[in-house]
Amino acid sequence: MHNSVAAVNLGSSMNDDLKDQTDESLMLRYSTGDAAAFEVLYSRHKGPLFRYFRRQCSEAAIAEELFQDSWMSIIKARKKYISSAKFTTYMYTVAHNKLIDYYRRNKIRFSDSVSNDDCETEDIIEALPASKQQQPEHILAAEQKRTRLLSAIELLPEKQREVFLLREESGLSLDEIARITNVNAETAKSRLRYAVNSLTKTIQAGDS
Amino acid sequence: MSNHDNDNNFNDYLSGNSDLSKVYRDADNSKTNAELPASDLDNSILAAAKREVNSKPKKNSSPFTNNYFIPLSTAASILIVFTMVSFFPDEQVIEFEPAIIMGELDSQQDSTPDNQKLEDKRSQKAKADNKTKQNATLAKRSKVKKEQSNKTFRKKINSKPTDIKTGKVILNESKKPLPQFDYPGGIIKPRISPLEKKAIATENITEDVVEDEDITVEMSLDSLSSSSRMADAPTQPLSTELMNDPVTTSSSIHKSKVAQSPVEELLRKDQSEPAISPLIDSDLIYDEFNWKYLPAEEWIRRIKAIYYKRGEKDVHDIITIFNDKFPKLKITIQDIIDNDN
Repeated sequence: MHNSVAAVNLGSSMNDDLKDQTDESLMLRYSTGDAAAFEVLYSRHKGPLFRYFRRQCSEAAIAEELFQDSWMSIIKARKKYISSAKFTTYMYTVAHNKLIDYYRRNKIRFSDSVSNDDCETEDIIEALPASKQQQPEHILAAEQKRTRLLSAIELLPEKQREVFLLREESGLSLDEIARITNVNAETAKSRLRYAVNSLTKTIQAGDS
Repeated sequence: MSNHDNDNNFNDYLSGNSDLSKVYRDADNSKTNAELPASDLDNSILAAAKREVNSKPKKNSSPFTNNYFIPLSTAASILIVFTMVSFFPDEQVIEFEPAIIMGELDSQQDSTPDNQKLEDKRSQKAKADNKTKQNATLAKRSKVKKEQSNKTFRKKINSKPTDIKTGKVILNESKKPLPQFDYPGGIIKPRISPLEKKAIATENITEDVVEDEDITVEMSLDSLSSSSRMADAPTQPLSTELMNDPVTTSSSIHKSKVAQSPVEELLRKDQSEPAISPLIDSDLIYDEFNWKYLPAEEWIRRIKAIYYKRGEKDVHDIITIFNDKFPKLKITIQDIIDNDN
């Protein structure tokens, strides 16, 4: 409820001219001292970025902390921003680095093995609680699908999950995802392929 | 699921036609409120963004200081350096060396007769013994070299400009010494005695006061000596005597007083103050070369000594030379006798 009110207030205060501008121009305006431009930019990207963190962290507090740290880094580095790349690429690069730092601080293994990722995904899918046989037929609806999907995303290997979230939340291309995650395009594509196949299996398993 | 099916699913996903993307977006839409950051977090981030923007003018509130700090500090440093240089020129530091050389020259000059004697003795011995003719020639050569070096140095010193009023040789013409500092090493006194200085000063004063230029120091001295002889009275200061004379005008008193005081003081000083160094026999032999650079008071001291040792005849010629050398300070034998008494 509070979030919706805040979003409405924020939206009402925005300038219509600013709404039409691109992310890059908004960031450049903010770097020159226009705080209203940052409000528009923030309102555009706060949801996707927050979900990016929320679905990769087990606790909401950690996601909020990383989310805040990412925006603070963007705010402090506003003068260094160069509009040579998309703002979303810049923003998710910052977010990716924050996430990696979090994983390193907490000594969370960030698996890079595609084959292992695939195997883990298979195991996770087997462990999912919801299935068509276990649920009443009339309850099987879209909500079950969504729940399964989110659970399956949560159980994906970190690198596959990150690539999928970057694709879904920000609509970035594979090249941009590869740049953000600091890998080549083929690796990013391979990770996305494994993630998509695993999640598709989960949805199809629920339908069947 | 076969690999072919997987490729199809992935291609559908990339093209945006897969069920996976639809389900994910539905999930996002259904959980909009839950999947957004809290309002407190929004407010804190937006406040931080505004604070950062507002702090910009504070950071740049002193662009003048930021932009002009280095140029201003450089200019201030240069100004300080120029001020220091203009107020404290370095000439006084440089001038110590000539003073030392001058002292060395004095010692050389003082020891020249001794060296000459030694050289003469050596050469005589050498000639008498006929052992080392070469040593004698070398000694002669060294003697000549010394004399030449002394002459050249004297020429250098004499060529330096001299301040007549103060009697100081200005070693560095381009840089004037500061009036508030008296540097013994920076300024070398030439061979002008205090008596000569006073005479020069007196000349400057009398030029301003006395209209009749025929009245000279010589006349005043004559009048002093004659008046004192006529009265058969002990020597008195000339000034007192003239003050008692009703005929003497005030201007003449001034003239005579000023004109006679240097010699009078010189003679009195010679009586009252002990000699700086005792005279030896060689000092009592007139040597034109050595006596040439002596001050007047030293001349008088030696003349006195010669007078008491050898008598009036030997002194007469020296006094003549003295009067030629110091025309402003002409003296007679009687002046010396009177002042001794």
